[in-house]
Amino acid sequence: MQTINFGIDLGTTNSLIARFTGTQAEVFKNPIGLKETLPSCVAFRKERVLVGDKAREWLLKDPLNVFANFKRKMGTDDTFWIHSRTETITPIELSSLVLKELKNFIHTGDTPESVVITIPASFDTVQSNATKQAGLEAGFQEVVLLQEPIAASLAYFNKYLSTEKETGKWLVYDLGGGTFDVALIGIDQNEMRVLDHQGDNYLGGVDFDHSLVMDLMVPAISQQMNLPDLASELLTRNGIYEKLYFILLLKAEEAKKELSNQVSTDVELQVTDADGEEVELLLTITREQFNAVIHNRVDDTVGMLETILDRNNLSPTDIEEIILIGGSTYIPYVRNTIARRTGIGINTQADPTTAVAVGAAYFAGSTPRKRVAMPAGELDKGEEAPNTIRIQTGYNKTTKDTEEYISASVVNFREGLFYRITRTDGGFDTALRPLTTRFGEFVLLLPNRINTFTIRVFDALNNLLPVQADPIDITHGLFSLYGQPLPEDICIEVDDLTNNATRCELIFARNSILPLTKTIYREISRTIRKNSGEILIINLLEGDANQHPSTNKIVGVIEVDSSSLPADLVKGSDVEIRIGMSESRDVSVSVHLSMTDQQFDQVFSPTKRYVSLNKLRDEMTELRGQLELDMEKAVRNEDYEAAAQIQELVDRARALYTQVKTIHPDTLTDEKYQLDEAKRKLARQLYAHGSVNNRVLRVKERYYDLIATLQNWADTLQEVSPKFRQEIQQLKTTEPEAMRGNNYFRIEGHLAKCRRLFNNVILYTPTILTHFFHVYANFSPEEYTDYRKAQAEIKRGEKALDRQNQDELRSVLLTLLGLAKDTEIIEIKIKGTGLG
Amino acid sequence: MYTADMPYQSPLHILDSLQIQPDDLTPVTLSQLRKKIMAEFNLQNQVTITIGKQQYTKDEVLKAIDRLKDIEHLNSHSLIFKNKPLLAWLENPGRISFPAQTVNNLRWSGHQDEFYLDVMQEALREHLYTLLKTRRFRQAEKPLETAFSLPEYGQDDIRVLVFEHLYDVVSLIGEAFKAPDYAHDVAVFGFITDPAWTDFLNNLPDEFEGAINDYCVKAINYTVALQHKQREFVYEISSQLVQTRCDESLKFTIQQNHKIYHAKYNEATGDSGSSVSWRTIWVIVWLLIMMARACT
Repeated sequence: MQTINFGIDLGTTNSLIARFTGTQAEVFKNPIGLKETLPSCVAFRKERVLVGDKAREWLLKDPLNVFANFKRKMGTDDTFWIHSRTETITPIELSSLVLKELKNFIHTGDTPESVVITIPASFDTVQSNATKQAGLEAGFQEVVLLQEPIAASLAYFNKYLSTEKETGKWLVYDLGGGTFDVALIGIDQNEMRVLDHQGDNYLGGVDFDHSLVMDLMVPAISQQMNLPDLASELLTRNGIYEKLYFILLLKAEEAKKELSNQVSTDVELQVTDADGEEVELLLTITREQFNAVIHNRVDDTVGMLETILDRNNLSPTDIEEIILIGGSTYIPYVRNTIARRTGIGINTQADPTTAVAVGAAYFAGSTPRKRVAMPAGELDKGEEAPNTIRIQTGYNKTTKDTEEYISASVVNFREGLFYRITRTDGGFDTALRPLTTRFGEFVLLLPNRINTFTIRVFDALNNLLPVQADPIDITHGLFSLYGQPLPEDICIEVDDLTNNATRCELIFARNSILPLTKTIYREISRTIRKNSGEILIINLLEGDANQHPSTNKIVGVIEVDSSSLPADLVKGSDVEIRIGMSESRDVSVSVHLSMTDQQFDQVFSPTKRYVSLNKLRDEMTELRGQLELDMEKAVRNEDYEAAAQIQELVDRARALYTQVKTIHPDTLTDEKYQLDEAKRKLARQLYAHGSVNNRVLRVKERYYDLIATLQNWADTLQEVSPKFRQEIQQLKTTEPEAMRGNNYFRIEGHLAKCRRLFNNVILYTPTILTHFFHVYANFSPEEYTDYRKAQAEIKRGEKALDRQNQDELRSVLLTLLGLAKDTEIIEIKIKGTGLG
Repeated sequence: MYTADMPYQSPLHILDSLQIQPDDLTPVTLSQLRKKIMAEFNLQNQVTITIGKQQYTKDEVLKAIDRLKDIEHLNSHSLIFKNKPLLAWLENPGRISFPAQTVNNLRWSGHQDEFYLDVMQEALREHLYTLLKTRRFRQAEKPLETAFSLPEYGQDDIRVLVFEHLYDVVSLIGEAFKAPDYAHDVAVFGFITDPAWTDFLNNLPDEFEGAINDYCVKAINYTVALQHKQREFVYEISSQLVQTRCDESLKFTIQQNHKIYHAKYNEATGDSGSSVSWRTIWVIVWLLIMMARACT
């Protein structure tokens, strides 16, 4: 079993490469300057391309031909304009240049074909694909992606965790240059698992730099030099102050670092005034001022940390420590805020700069390389004869246990042979065992070292035979991960005819271990006639399956046009959907329509996400309008508590709307992606807290009415069966969880259970059944769709009552229910997906 | 719309790979089981591996082992797991035939706790849903019989399912009555001319009487509307209505109508001037095609 061994931290501001050496991870140093970090910065100077420190040095001289922070544009359709070459370059291409440069750090003579590259946990599928593409463009044959908090955890727990603390839960808080992640890590019985995580792709040190520039430095410069348009000119591509923006960013980063050690810092600047004269400026920034401009963002990170605790029903006392990773955790305000707000001890033992690369190398050291299919005749070129016995093995490369399992398969198998597995120190020996095509053994390990095993094959006369077998090295003392979790739910959009809407159907739940595959069977929700112009939509989404589909991100869409159908797709006919997701989150979808026997296959590996400013403006207008409408209704109904909640959302929506309206299409910043993300979050809150007239409150009211009635029956009627009593109790036990967070779909699911129980109790409790029969028997003629039939049923019911025939009475009641006018009539107004 | 919950999945499949008996479940055996399977994933480097006859992803294996850590109803799981035809059906109730004999034997052996009955009810619901949806009424007889022999509280979902199905059929015929379209109607509810459908209705418990009467009323109205256009279809529907157990007053109407349809049907087939039915002609054409294919 050959493992990948090389891990790369492709960071927003710095990148690193490390290798697993068997017992530990070694971070390679740049041969020039001998630093471990390579700034993720690329400069174009005539025909030369500079990467890293040299590029960064060039930033002050020629900022328009130097590019940094492009990681935050991964997965978007943004490109960078290279002035000196009059051409554009994509974030993927820039990242691949950094990756290529990192290859030069390897001094061991290795030329890795496979590599593990880290990504923020909150990177979506498009951003992940873009990162993988960058790896492939850098010349790697195989790229495995690893989430950064997992890498950081592996580094920390393999290096620092003392033996007496090997059970518990930790939080890994990773605030890097451009992204933020927090992960909940659990360790139990020598096994490490990522239990949950949360993050923001657009929250990191560069945002602090940007705030320093825009909120402190620019107002000061504007005032001192009388440049009122400086702020807007600064952020516009090809604007007169575009160059200055990059210089200010660099100065801000330096100031930020200094403010971690001192309470104030001076920034020296040269700015060209309106007359074209160079003016020297000196700005003083205090730590207090800096804290003021970053406090909202830091609060957001702690908010996400608290969300994780809340989601997993944990209190701060359940957490051992918060482990800090990432350069931005050097900021004192960040450390103090976390400690103050959570009350959990913080741990700064891990090296914030190298932890992710080290963890990536640990992961690479236990991840098998894909076997590349050998070209025909290739085997003959090797030293071994083509019919030489080959033994392939699989096992856990690193472990904390003293026993591991080696699984083996034999190529060119021959009968009548024997195998023997021995540890090189002679301390373990299986003795001779009959060779079979597949075999396996538990082997014992010596602690805290590499345990090397060999497999030898003998004939019946005990002669050693030539065998081609992979070396088996198992390192004791290091944690290994069985895999990495899926960051978000993967779901498809299906029609929800009851609510005249669409909803998400969960395919893969977040935190499931990758890779994944699943086949689901759905039905066509409405007849799609051939050539009718209608479309069956298979819309694959990622996000929260409990939320409305519009709040989630699209991974890919398969559209089946009615013109491609050989016959009508009748409502109720089956659709088979097979969905697969690789370790690096490539998504493959196969759709089979049983009615027309058609198959549609697609692999989704998009590397760009386009954010349309026009669409964003439209969506924000709609969102704001909806919220303002809800606000009016809340005030009209004098529901001031709800109104206060909505007011907060309205304010945010207005602010976002203003930002979206004023944003320049050629903006240099990540603002439109940030705004898109903010819009999604706002939409989620609208669905969660929503308006007073929204479905959530109605569903909740219905539920509470039903459960109160059920409880009343259970309290007052002896004849309610013990099973029903138990089910009522179960509903009440799970009620707080279901009602928490005002999630419509979760509440609706709970109501459905309650409604089902309610119906059962009515139908199978004689007194209640009789009561409900009388209620329906006393309905006026207008309340029935067919009163004549209802009357006949009522007579039948009366006879059933006389005979005490509960079965018949049940049947009558069910028929009367069907005839009553207040039965909900489903009217289909939406087009939907066509998938039920 | 009806949506089936997840069918039963035995947590014990996974034990097969280490020949662990359910009684031998300990933290050590579970740890060994996990190591063995994860080594297999590393060896094969595939998304899924086969354990027993099932494919598992890494996630499914880890979750299955986690479930075994604090498994409940071990006796019932074990009982089901040993009974392979029953296990296969419970895990795929929409795709595998109902093992009537096995279920019956278990029923009389007394091995029926609440958990087993819940699993059975869930599987029966999905199985019957599939059978009714695909109009396999004859095959629904045994499972329905079993379903209605479950304890009272366990029958409700099945009752709702059958009621919904009947109401669907009633509404389909009701819609068709407004604008009869023979080709469409035969495709959508032509199954009502099948004796299996009639037997299915007649075997339902008494409480379905109202729903069956509804169906009969709609079918009568439909036959009246279509009697002059599609005499054969109307006659076939009527022939089954005559056999259907329903309200006496409806029965009378059905019989009166049937006499008329019968006469019209004879008249129609006599008017056609040919004693050869379309079916016979189709068979001849098919034979000719087959012979032509055989020659080539």
